[in-house]
This record gives sequence, C-alpha cells and structure tokens, in this order.
Amino acid sequence: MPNEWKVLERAVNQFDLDHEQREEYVQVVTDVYGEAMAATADFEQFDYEYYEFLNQEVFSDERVVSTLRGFGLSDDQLAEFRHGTINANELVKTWNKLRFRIDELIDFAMLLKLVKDYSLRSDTGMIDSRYRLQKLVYLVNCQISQKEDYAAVGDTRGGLGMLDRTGYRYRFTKRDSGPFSADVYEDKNRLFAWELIDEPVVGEEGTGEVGERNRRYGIKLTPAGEIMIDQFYDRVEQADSVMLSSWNHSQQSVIDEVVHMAHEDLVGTINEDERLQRASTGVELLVGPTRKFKASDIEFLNELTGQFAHA
Amino acid sequence: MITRYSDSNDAVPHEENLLILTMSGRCYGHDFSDIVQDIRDGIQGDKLLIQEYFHSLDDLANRNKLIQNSVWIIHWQECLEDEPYPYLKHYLDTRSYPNEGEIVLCVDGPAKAEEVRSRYPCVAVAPSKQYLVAYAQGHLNTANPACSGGTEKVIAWNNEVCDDLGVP
Repeated sequence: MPNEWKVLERAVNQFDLDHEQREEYVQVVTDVYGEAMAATADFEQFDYEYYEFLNQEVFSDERVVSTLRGFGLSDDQLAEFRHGTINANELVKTWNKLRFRIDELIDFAMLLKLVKDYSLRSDTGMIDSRYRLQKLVYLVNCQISQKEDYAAVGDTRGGLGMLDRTGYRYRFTKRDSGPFSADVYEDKNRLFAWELIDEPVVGEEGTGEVGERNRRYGIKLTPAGEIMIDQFYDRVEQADSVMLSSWNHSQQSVIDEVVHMAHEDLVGTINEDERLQRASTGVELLVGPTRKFKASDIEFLNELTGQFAHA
Repeated sequence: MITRYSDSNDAVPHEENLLILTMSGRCYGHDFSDIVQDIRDGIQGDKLLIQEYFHSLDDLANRNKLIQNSVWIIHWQECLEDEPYPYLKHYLDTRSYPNEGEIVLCVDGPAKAEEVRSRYPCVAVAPSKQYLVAYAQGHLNTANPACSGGTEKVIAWNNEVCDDLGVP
C-alpha cells in the first residue's frame, strides 16, 4: 500500500500532541498538501523529489507551522518544519520496519522453518494437513511449557515454564478438532497470501479441522518461501539467544516425534492430552507469551524485517 | 468493467469509486453520503471523478467487485468488531486488496482507534470524521491525474487490478 503521503502525519510523532491537536494538524496539513499537489507538484516518482516537494511546499508552509506553534511548540522544536528539512524518507523506512512487531516476525520465521524442517523429514515432502500444522504448533508450545525456566527462579511468572518467555504467541482453545488457534490459521493465511507457502488439495476427505472439513490440504513452501527461509535458517539454528534456541530445539523434537505418525495415531496422541480432556469446548487451553523478544535478542532482526517488509 | 490503461491519456479523467461498507449508512453522526461530499470538496482539479459505492454486505465474497474500488471505507463496529463477515476479515488479515489502494477503518474515538491500529497496523484507522476526510483526501490528492506523479499512481493501481482480474 502506498504510504509516502502518510509522512504528513508521522512527521509530528516527535511531538506530544493530544487527540484534538493532532486532528487539527492532520486537517491543516492535508489541505495544504492537496493544494500543493495540484499547483506545484512536478515529480514523476515518489522518492527524494517527492520528499523535497513535501519539505518545500507543505511542511514549511506558514499555515502548517503556525498551527503547530499554536500548540505551544517553540521555534526550536519546529526548526525542521520551518526550514523544510524533515527526513521524510527515513520516516517512511522506519514505518515500514514497524509494520510487524518483532514477535510477529519471529512467529512467521519459525512457522516457515517448521514447514521446511517437517517437509525435509516427511515422506510426502510437506505437512499433510491443516490439522497437522495446528497440532504441531500446539505440541511445540506444550513442550516448551514443560521446560523449566531456570532464569525465572524466584520470579513470579505465569507457571508455564519457558513458555512464559518463548514459543509461538498463539492462543489455543478447545474445538471439536482438539486444540485450535485462530492465530495460527490467520498467520498461515498470511504466508499463503504472500505466496511463501502453498496449500495443494491432497485428499477428498476432510480431517474435521477448521477450514478442512471437506477436503484435506497439504502445506509446503513455495520456491519464494524456500528462498526466504534460506536467508535466516542457519541464523536460527546457531542463535545465541537461549530463548530462540530453546524454541527451535522443542520444535525439532516435536517434528521428530510426529513426522512418521499416521493421522489416526496423531489424533489419538492429541486426544490423550490432559488439558484437552479436562476442558469443555471453547475453553482456553494454552496461551503463548504475548511479548517475548527485544530487538537486541535477535541478531538477524534487520534481515528478517527486510524479508517480510517485501513479502 | 475495468480496462487497462496503456498511457497517461487513458487515465484522464479517472473515475474513482469509494467503496463504503456499512449497515446503517451512517458514521460519526453523519450520513456517509455527506461525508463523501466533504471528501469530494477537498479533491483538487477536475481529472478525478469521485463516486460513493455502497456494496452489499451479503456479497463480500465477491472480491473481484471489491478490488475495483481504490478506497475502502469500512465501519469498524458494524463490519469487523465482532467478526460478522469472515470474508472481510480474511481480506484484511491476508492483505488481499490492491497494494495501491487505501483502506480506512472508521472507529469511534482515539482509545478504540489505538486498539484497532495494533490489530491492523497496515491500514489507516480514523477516530473521527475529520480524520476520515483527511485520510481519503490524502490518498485521492496523491493518486490523482492532476499531477504527473499522481497519474503514474493511478495507472499503477488500475493495472494492478487488471492483473489481478486477468484483464488483458
């Protein structure tokens, strides 16, 4: 989605404006922008020329500057506006980086890695159903929740072992098909929409899973997905972060456990789960950590961000 | 039916539909048609023709029709909050809309807007009528044949939709 013009609003993120002030600024700057676009815009591309145009014709316009002055901002604070020196290009790039939260990116990366690692070991070269994908992710988080979090000794955490700090951030509830996460379903759809995974129909009988009642869908990487995962596969494997390596280790272990299990056996294993047996339909079974990684925890964050920003 | 633009002459004038998804036809205490008139009043030049289009909420599976509108204005509370329309939710979650389009979610008040923004970080979230008008005008004064860069935007959007629909 084109977002260059949205720097008009982002340029005031540096100030502590209240809702009404921000609304007034957005109205004024949009009016000035519309007039300037029709009257003086002569650029072909929305790049440096466009940002120069914004600085010369919009940000430094007296109506914009005086509106901001009216909010009590000093001339010093408004120097970049007054002089038309706002680094709009950087604001756009920063926004692109923030489109995904770190934890969201790591989930995407680990999901892709799950598909790759499983496909490499399976006879069919893919995860053979949406049911299996859901249960793989659930089992990974279950295993992480059973790992003792040594760093949390004496701390008051959520009682889910390492899952308080690492693992998929997804929430699982009990459905007819067993543990199910709408978050997994959505992220899988996103990866599909970005053409990083493919979902060929592999059977005419459904599994009873959500979105898989009448047909069975395999899940495998597309060539673009293969290229993407190759960019950071080794970085995950060799990560210094205990949290990431612990997560990856659990994921490998679950894949080994499940990869040669027939569908019926997997259903049986899942149904033996004590949490599942105790819960009634709709009840929450397991919730991953809502926030886990800091930017400094992931050495390859920039590469990862770049990959998904262009997905 | 949309047709492919082969050069800038094809893009002038450009007819633009504002897709409005709502049950009540109203938002922020105003009829959407009145809000669209405010949007229209702020569009510069005479090379962009704006028309509102209220698409039936019973026909959201018709993605081919939806994507032919470059601005989607969606009443958050009526169409998304309790997820009554799985197709619409799916389009937003999977970003299954043209890159060169603009989506604005209409939300009541800044606190709710903040919550919705964290759910949908890639679309615009308008907490008031003033924001909605400004966001729509920002897009429509950018992708506007009134200037050469804007003409390129219009052509890019139009031909992206043609590619999606398989229009030769």
